[in-house]
Amino acid sequence: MATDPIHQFQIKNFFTVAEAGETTISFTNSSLFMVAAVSIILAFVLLGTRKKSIIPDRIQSLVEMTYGMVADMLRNAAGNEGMRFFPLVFSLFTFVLTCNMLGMFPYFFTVTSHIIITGILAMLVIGTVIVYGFYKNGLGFLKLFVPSGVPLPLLVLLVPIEIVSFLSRPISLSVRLFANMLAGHITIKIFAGFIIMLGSAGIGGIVGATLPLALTIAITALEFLVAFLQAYVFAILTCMYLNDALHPSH
Amino acid sequence: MSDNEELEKRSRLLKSKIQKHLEKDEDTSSEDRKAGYQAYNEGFRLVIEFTTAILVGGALGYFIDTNFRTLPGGLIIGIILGFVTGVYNLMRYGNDKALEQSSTVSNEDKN
Repeated sequence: MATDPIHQFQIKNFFTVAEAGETTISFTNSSLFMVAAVSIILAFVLLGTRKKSIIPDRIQSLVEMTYGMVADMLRNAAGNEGMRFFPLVFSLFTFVLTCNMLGMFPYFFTVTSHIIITGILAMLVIGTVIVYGFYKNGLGFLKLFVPSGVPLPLLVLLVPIEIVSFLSRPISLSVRLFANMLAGHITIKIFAGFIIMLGSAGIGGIVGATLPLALTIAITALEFLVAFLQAYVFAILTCMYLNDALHPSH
Repeated sequence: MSDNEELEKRSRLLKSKIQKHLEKDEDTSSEDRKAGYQAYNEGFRLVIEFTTAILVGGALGYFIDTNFRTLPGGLIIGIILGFVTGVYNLMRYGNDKALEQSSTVSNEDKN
C-alpha cells in the first residue's frame, strides 16, 4: 500500500556478494545509500581542497567551515590532545549528516533509521574510548568509575552507578539517533497519507486536506533541523566520551 | 554650518531607523521556535538516557542471575540500580545546568 508508513524502511537485496555458511553478505539499498553518502563526502572534500586558494571560493569555504566546526567542537570538549581523534569525529559527523540529509529526499532510503547502523557507530566510539583509555592510562582508566572526593562508604553505591551509566552510553547514543530519524520519517509519511485519504473523500475532504498538507510541510522543515542537529549531537557526545578516554579522573 | 546640521539630522534619522530594524529582528518568532526545539531535544536526550539506564541495569542483573542461578534477585537489584543511575544522571545534568546558568548570570552582572 502506498500509505504504509513502515514500507520506506524495508531492506531490499540487490545482489549477493558472498556467502559464509548460513550468513550471506549482500549489497542492499542500505549499502547503496552508504556508498552514495561516502562518495558525496569524498567529492565535497576533494572539490573543496582542490585549489587551496587563499581567498576561498564557495565550496572551499564550506569545507573549511565544516572542518572548523568539528575542530572547535573537539578542542572544546577534549582539549588540544583530542585532535588526534579528529579523523574519527569528522568522518562520523559527515557520514551521519549526509545519511540524514539523503534520507530527506523522497523515495530515498534513510540509512540512520536502522538501529544496527547507529548501534555499530556507537560501538565504534565506545570501543575506541575503551581501547585507547586502557592503552594510554593503563589500569588508571578505571578511575573513570571512581568519582574523586567521595567518602569510602558512598563509593560502594557510586561505583556500580558509574558502571551502569557507562554501559548505557552506547545504547542511548544509538537509540537517540535511530529513534529521531525513524519517528520523524514515520510522522511525515502518516500526515502525507492523511492528505491522500481526505482528498479522495469529496469536496469537503479536499478542503480538510489542507490542514495535514500544512503540517506535512512544517514537519518536513523540522526534519531538516532534526537531521542536522542529531548529527551534531552525535558528534558532540562522541567528543565528550573521547575526553573520558584522555582524562579518566573527574 | 548648515551642511553640518543637515548631516547630523540625517545621521540621527538613520540611527533611529537602524534601531527600529534591530528591535524588529529581536522579536522574531523563529528564535523562540529554535529555543523551544532545543529544549525538546534536551528533554528527549534525558528521557532516553533515563530509560536506557534502567534497561542496562536490568540486563546486567539478569546476566548475573543466569550465571549464578539467583533469579530474580539480581534482576530486581539491577533494575533498582538502573533507576538510581537514571535519577543520579538527571541530578548531575540539573546541577551542571544550574552552575552554567549562575555563571552566565554573574558574568552579566559584571558587565
